[in-house]
Amino acid sequence: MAKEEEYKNLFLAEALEHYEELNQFFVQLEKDHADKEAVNAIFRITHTLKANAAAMGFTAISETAHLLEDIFGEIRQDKLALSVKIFDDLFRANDKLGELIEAVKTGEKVRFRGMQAKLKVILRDAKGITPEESVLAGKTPTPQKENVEQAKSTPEKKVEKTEESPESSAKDSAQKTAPKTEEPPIKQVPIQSPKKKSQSKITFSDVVQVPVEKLDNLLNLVGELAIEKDKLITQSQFSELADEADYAALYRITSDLQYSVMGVRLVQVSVLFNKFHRIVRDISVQEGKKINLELKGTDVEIDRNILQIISDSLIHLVRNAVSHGIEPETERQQNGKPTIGTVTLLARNDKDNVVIEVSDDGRGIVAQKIRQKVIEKGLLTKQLATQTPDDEIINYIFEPGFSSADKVTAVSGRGVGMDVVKRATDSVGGKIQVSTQQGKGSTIGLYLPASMAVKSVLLFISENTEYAIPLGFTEAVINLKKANIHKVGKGLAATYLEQTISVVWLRDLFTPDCLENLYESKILHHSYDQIDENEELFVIVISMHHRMVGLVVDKLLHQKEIIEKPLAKPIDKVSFISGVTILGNGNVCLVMDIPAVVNHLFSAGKNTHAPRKLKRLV
Amino acid sequence: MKKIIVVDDSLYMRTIIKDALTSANFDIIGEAGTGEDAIDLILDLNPDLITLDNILPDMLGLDIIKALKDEECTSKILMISAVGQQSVINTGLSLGADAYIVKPFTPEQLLSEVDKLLA
Repeated sequence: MAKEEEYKNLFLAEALEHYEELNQFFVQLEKDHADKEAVNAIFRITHTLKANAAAMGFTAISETAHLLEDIFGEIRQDKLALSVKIFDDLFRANDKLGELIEAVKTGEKVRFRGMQAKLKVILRDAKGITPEESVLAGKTPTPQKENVEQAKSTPEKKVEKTEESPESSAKDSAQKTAPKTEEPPIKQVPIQSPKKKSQSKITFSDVVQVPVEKLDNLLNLVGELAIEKDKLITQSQFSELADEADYAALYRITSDLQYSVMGVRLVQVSVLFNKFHRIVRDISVQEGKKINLELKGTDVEIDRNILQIISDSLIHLVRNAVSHGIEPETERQQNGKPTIGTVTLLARNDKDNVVIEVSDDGRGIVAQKIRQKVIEKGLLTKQLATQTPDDEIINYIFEPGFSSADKVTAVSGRGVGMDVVKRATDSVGGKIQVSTQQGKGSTIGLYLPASMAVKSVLLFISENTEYAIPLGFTEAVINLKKANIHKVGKGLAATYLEQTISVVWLRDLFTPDCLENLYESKILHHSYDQIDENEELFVIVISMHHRMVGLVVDKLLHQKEIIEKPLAKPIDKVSFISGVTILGNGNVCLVMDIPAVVNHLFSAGKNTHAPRKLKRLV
Repeated sequence: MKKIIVVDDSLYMRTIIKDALTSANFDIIGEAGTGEDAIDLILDLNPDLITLDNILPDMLGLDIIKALKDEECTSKILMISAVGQQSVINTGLSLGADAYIVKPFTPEQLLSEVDKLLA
């Protein structure tokens, strides 16, 4: 039983790869119909998939793959010409294959007979048989098909089959389906079949597939270990008994272990990038634009979970690039640009971060258009919007509900995309950077941590409690005196590098009233009113999406790499705190959720009439 | 109530057929405009009867009959064909279609064929 499960998992992993590859080669072939290599590759892949699926007894997958194989057999022999319409069908057929493969896992019911009938019609047309001949003959135009279709074969067909190979059974259908016709021989795919007893050589793959949950669990344990290590080492500093060398070894080994486990979770971005061949193809067909997709830095590695979290965002960004960025062909010609637009997906390492950039060579983002929209939507007053510089106003595309598309299309312009991108990026502690040049194109860069588990943080104390702020959000640490801070309306402000920033006492933020009516009462003035003129204040300047806030804390500690643990129920929805860690001294340290803090400060100011729940609480 | 699926790529024709059948108290449980959708829908819902146009964008009605019979579908099949396609009708009947009517037809003609098949 366990073996079967293992085979099934292996089959699934491989089948999904086949599905991806097919998408990629279809895209390649659609661009260049004469690409013989792609045709051969598709033929080979469908052949393998058919055989594997048949061996597993997944007839729906096997039959569909078989039909595709036959179609590409015809294409290989130039008996079937490629047309635009055929590609739509091929892509949809591959989608069905994907659904069927997925259904093996989920047990979901997938309708596929209709698609199969359609593929048969394509084949029939290729063979030049009139419809009536074909249907009257009572045979599908695929001569080998009966082999796969076991149970439902008519008696007449069974006779035919026994003549071919008397020992025929469902099990060996995989081999039997190998081309017996006049087709040129293709490389036989090695299938470990129980029948091939003579070949007793067993080969093992050097790669082991591990479920992500197991890795999550492993990482969690290593995290616990690292915390225990910190505790021991802290204690050792106060103990005469301990031999320092022992602790040094323990320290080294646990760190190595921690980094190795993190390393195991890293995957190449190509896992995600390669899916975009198909996505871009679909969007460009819908939009009626010719797009060339370039992938760069596909071997850059990133934590698998982070990649998963941002995958939807990347789709949004690519859609936006195609539908808003890239101009229609005529407009491009007028501007002396190549008629085919280019969308580039790039990954690169930047210090501790992995940067993923989506660029296009389209018209760029017009700041004035954004500004108008910002005013229209009431996100800023006219005066403020006019004062805001271009590169700052552009960031408003990430505000919820913002959409600057002149028209709504099937793929973009619903105005939800960009704030989804922002939220996903926030949730992994990443940042977004937009750069655009009018007429030349735009680049949107996601600065993501390479690994989710370890965070570099700044530790500090407020009201005798230790807190951590991820370094990704800290801009600077400054000292201020009361005289540097001024009351502005119901909030406080100070000047940092000639910029006006809001100032907030962390302890004011953590009062119960703050959540509900931040600007109603004078909560934010509370601590300010109490302090002494000469008291020196420690201020951590945090920045997020070009918004800077100075957080006043009681005492600064030091920087540290921590392993953040998510909060458990029922306190997993606490505002402003994203998780906890345990410090070497055994204390629990709260990790601040800076996006939530900044969003709360700025959104509460805008909607003073109705206390708004934090986004992450919804 | 007997369940029927209407297959035709023309919305106009589907509407006429649906209205006629609904007024005679049949339950139209689905309709399809392409062969692919038709086959998936019929195999899924297993209606008592289908009305089947022969020329669809992606395949012929004959292909649908073939696919359904391959799957041992027991729904009654009423082919709807244009005039002068006797060979198509003959092929359809030999494949397992149960009856046919020729366009243009009156609602009465349609209902009388359907009644006969579902009697």
